[in-house]
Amino acid sequence: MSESIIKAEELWKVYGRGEVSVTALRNVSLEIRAGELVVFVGPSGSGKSTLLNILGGMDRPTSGRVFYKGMNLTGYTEAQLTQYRRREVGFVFQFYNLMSALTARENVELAAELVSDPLPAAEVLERMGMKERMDHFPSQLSGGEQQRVAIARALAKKPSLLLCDEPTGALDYETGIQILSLLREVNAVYGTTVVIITHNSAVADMADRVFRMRSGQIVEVRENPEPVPAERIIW
Amino acid sequence: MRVLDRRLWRLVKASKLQFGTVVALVFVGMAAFVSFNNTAISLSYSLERFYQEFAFADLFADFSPVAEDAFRRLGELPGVKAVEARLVIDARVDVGRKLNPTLRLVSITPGQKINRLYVQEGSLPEGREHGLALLAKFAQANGLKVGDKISLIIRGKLFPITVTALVDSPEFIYAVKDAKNIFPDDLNFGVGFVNLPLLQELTGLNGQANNAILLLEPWADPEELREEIEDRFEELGLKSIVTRENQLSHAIVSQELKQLNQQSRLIPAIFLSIAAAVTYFMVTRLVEGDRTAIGMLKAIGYADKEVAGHYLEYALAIGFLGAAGGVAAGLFLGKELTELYSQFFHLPLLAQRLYPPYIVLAVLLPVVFTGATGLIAARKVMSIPPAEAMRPLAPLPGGRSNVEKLAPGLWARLPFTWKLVLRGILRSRRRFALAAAGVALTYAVVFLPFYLLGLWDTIFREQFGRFEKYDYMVSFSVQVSSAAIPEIKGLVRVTAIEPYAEYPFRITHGWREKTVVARALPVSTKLYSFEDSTGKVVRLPRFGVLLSEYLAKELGVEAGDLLTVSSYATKGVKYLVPVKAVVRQYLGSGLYMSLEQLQRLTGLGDAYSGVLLNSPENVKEILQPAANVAAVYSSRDLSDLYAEYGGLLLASITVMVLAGGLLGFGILFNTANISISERIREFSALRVLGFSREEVYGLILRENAMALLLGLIAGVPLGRMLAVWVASSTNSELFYLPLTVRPGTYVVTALLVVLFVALVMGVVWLRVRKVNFLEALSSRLT
Ligand SMILES: Nc1ncnc2c1ncn2[C@@H]1O[C@H](COP(=O)(O)OP(=O)(O)OP(=O)(O)O)[C@@H](O)[C@H]1O
Ligand SMILES: [Mg+2]
Repeated sequence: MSESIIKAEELWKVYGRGEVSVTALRNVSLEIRAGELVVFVGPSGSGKSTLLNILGGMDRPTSGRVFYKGMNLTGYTEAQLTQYRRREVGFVFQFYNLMSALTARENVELAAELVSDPLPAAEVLERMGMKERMDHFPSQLSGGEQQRVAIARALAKKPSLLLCDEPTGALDYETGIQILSLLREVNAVYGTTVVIITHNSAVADMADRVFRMRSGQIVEVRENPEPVPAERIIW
Repeated sequence: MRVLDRRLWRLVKASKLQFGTVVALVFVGMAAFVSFNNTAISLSYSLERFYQEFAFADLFADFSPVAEDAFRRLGELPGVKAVEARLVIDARVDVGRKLNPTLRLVSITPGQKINRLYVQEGSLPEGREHGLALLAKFAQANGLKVGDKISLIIRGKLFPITVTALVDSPEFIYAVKDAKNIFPDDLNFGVGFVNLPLLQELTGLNGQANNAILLLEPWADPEELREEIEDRFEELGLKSIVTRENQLSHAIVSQELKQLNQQSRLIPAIFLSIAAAVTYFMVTRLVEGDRTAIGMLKAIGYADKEVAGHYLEYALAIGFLGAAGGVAAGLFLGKELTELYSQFFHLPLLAQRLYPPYIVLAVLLPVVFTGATGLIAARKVMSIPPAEAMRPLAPLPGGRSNVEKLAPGLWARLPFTWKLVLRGILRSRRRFALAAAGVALTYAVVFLPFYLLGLWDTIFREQFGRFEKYDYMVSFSVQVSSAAIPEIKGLVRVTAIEPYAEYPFRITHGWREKTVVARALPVSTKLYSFEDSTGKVVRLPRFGVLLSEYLAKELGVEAGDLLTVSSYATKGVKYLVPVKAVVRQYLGSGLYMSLEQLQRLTGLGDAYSGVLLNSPENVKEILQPAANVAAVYSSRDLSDLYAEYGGLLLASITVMVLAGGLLGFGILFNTANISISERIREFSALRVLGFSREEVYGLILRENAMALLLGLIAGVPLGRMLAVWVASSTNSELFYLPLTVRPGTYVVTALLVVLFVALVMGVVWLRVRKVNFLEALSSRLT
């Protein structure tokens, strides 16, 4: 078993103050190991995105600590958090968030330019099956294709940690499966630690470990000794 | 940042017209800045140099002819560095045309130290040689060359003389006969320089002089010396003395420079601040529309500064592109403008000069201006969290507006579309205010030239039609008695004729003092008519005086006040006379009184300086040979010249109107576009609800119609304010601009502004026609 890449201790996240305050995370502790592919499942509003944002250095917890490779992220300045997001983390969003004025390749380069030794944009795109459509603009691509570009964009920076918030949420079944197997492939080929958030319990079968959340808490952690290949998931 | 730059470039290309109009605003502002400043600097530099090198005098004094020696006393005054006694006489010259031009003969002396001549060609006449140097522009206009023989006509006698040189003089950079002839007429008026002894001989004024020019020590105060000379030389026959500031040529040139300087500030200031405001709203809209993209950029590791920099670059590009184009155009236009000035100003050393500090400033100013507002707008990037990228699209903005809360009854009665329009306006009040301000400014900028054009017309129609009703003014070289009137009647068929007398007076009111030439007319004058500032007709009083508005203001005098007057004829004795009324006078400034009043003040009897007359005949030609006739002014000629120069004004009006149009277009086109892109999802929702494309456009149209209405209401007083400001800063002894605005001016300006707005709305319709509303509703692309 490899060492932990990211560790959270007693995380609390409270939005707002007083009567209108919402507690999104209640005392969440967890540890993710390098090279793992983990899935977070849970109903809407259970705090999955909140947790992912904190792990990805996009947000700060109200209390508690986050350690990345032993370093305390909670003590980081904004500039340090930016550097952390730039060097260590890749994000894949539910709605892809590509820039419409840039081609697929340029969208990837946008991220690649941020680090000193990125993967060549063309290479990642090819790996994502987008070789033929590299010079298309997002408006000329389907949702699944856009999400492939978005994954390529995250990977070009060679992140250690790939965080995906409902990457298949806006896609149909077939395409969703393809994206999930791509993520598994990324995990296997590049050794990237992958975190996937989903509503869909069936997706949990492909993970090494599954975290189940409810009302801001992790209510169950399950190890999958034999993860199912994404292609065989049915929902 | 390469990829982001590429995105920026594509954003610019996708909104060419929007981006282009703002760049154009900067462009116009900076082209004006560079061309006006460069011209102003070139002019004042050349002027300064010419004055310096050719020793332009500090004081100019006119005397009745007295012995040359008497002037030596002037040189003994402390502060006077040099003095030159001269003879200055207006004569005519036969150049082979029907009408003989007026030639002002000015004496020179070899080795003269003041008002030296710049010789363009030939050499100055020597000793008693029968030669003269001609003002170059006059010679050119009349086709005269060095070596040509011409005939001077002095008191009806012909004197042949050879042109030995073509020259320029610091005293006649703007060569006009007098303050009434504010436009140069090189064909009919010129200056000839003749050696003093020869001129004395030709005029029969041996050993005498009637004019002095003085050069002062750097520490001397010209104003103080002027007063001292006025006090001490009155008995010597001092008629008038002016400092350099009031010397005709210099006064006109510096007036022009002042206006140029004013424009070089006003126009760039308007255009730059508008460009900066529009830039602010454009960048704000870009940032708002890019919220998710900004979140994404931050999430993948872009720092706040890098993201904000992306938007700042957009603003800087506007400033920089506009500045670069503006500087280039400004340099070119500056050359043209300097060229144009050289047609009016006889400035031998006039050359277009490049002033690097201004060019640097011209690039820096817009970059700083648009950069600053761009930065304020781009700073909003800071408050957008990276997690924004995770969020679904923000819900459509809603909520009740203040109107709904304050006047629910009224609100309920509004038609649905107007509710939408009002909500839209109230939601983005500041942008709406900019649109309305844009209309108001456009109104003001377009209003100004039309006001000036109307003024131009008013001035010369009223001055030569209502106030001065005579066709001709004949002035004599030597004063005449009333016997001259039947004599003239014998030569010319006159329908009306009146004598007039002119006399210089020093007038004081409190500590304020002026020297003016008073004009005395018969009490019953029919060829002059006076009006007070309310337009009420004022009769020339038998006793007491009338003062023009400008003089009254300068002296702080109102109707009913008492003035102290004195002159060389009163031998220093001071008289008190009441000001009966303050009267309108647009060209020049004046003091008017009855002939009786003049006789009382001066003790002069039956002596007149000239006559005013109406005649169907060409009096200029008929009286030309008359010995004692110094000059014949024709009102017709003057108004013709006015009309001719009005053409120049027309050209600048076209430019101003176009600039105003661009201003309006740049603002409204951008605010309309920003409004559309901000509300595109709202519009899309309306389309889904069953609104037609035209109905959606109708909402935009209504919003802009509101801006137009408000802008017009604010534009009227703003335009007036601008006009008042320009008029009051132009007013001088030469001009007095009335603030009357013709009603038509308001209407024409309003029509033009409506036309500009209609044009904008037309272009906006072309855009609305192409928008894919349904895609806008579902798209997450940024
Ligand atoms: N910026 C915010 N301000 C206030 N409350 C918030 C904010 N972000 C999230 N919340 C609240 O915190 C809780 C957890 O939200 P979160 O987005 O983490 O849930 P989630 O599990 O990702 O849900 P979903 O599956 O719908 O995406 C919710 O009740 C939500 O309303
Ligand atoms: Mg979520």
